[in-house]
Amino acid sequence: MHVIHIGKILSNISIVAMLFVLISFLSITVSAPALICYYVLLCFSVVLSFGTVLLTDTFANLWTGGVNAISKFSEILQVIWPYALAITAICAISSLICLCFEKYNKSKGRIAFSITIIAITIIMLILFVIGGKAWIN
Amino acid sequence: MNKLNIKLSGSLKVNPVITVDGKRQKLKKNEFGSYMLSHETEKNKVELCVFKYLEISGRFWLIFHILFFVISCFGIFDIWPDRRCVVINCKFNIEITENTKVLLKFNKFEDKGRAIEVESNNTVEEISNVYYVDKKAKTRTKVLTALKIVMIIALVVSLFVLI
Repeated sequence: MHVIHIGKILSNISIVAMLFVLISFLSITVSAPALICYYVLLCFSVVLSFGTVLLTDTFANLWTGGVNAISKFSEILQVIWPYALAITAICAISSLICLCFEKYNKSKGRIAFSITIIAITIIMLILFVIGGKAWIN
Repeated sequence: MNKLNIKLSGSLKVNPVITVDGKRQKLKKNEFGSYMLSHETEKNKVELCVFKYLEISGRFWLIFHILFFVISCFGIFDIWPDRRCVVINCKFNIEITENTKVLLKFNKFEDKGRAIEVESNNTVEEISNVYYVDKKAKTRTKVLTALKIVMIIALVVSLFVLI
């Protein structure tokens, strides 16, 4: 019973860590829509404040700030994704082992999810090993 | 060989454990989404038990729950706990023949109310059939919640001190 509880916690951690890895992996494609969102929000705020922002010197900085903020976010993700991948792999494998102890009422969804996460992690690890550090950059 | 076919219906939120003659049974879902189980035996009478085991009622509950709390990054990744502490305690003696069908209809929770309505083509003797709130588990849940709050406050304070 307690082992299954730990398995479910590890499964939750692996799901979140996997999401982090995927966001990092797709940071180049993700940054474009994020940038659009940033400008849409900025336009709304400008319209709502009836041009008072236009009078200040910081107005020009606001338009270039989005690129900087998102590029910084992407840089952080690029650095942390191998660690997140390691956490994902450890948590997914441990959760799968723990969940298999459940004899009577198996959490099929969680088990399937863990197997999928392990498969994705292995593919990413292979890509990481083949590509090496040059591939990350 | 006598066969006992049990079908479960109604409010199954309590996630019960079912045993026949002390042996835990595996539930299977049929095509209509109902849970079923079948048990084969040479006996003419079996003892059917339906109960719920609460994790917090077990031994070393405090140590285990603190461990879960720490592993789940201070409760962020923990599973949603059952705060109602509803327990089901049912025991029936069922006479069985070659093909005995039993339908267990789970009622909605009502403290000290009837938990299950049993329908069968054979004789069913009811020994116990009740829903109730486990007060010991409820007290433990409250203690645990208080302890978690204290731990979170301690964490926040220590982080502030470190920064």
